[in-house]
Amino acid sequence: MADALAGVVQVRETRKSRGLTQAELAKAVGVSRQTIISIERGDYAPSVYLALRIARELGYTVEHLFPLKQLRQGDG
Amino acid sequence: MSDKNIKTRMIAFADRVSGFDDPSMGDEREANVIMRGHTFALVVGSGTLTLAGAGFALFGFWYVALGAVLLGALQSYLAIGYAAAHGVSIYDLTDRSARKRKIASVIIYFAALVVLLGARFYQLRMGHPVFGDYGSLEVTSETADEGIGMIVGAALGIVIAFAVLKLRTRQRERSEEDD
Repeated sequence: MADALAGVVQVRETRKSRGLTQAELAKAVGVSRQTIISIERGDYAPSVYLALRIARELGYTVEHLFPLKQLRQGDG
Repeated sequence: MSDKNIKTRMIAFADRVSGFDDPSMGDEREANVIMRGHTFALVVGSGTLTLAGAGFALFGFWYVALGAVLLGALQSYLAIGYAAAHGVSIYDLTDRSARKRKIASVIIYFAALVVLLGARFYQLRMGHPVFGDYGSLEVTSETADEGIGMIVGAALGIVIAFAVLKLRTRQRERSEEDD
């Protein structure tokens, strides 16, 4: 379970380390706060474009924020 | 105007009508959820309309019954047409659907069709609907012939529909082999 949530934790921890709230990150990347919450919980796998926007905003690569081991069956 | 232009315009029109480009669709996750909700509504809606059609036929409201079934079919055809404009064949994909899902939908639609036609046949033969007395009519040789003609027509329609589906499946399998 810890492995499965690795990427989820990455997004949350990275966001916190940058001093951003969920609402601020959501506004910066152009989505709702609920979408950021869903991504951080691992309920929603973002599109490539949204993942790139989040990565750019947090100053990391997509691979760092969303490692493949995070993807669960059915996420594509 | 080329075919591609027509398709592009049709897609743009459909997206405008459904409000796909409207801010009310939200972000990508919210749009995805809304579309899933609409798909669910479409499946339930067309199934409900078909079953309601069968119900109306039992009470003698034949034209309302036909209208309900056609409306259900229209919903499905609009979805099929939209997907086709994007190069997605819902027919081919439906063919791959899980066995349980396929059997359930065939049973529901076939049962509704049998009830619908059976109720009309009953009305034409007996002069009154299965329930109530709306649309009572005088039984003549013409109404009896109409009833038989309807059953024969429906049987033929079902045979043709199954033949077409089989043919499409075979064509798809062949084209996949070619790939």
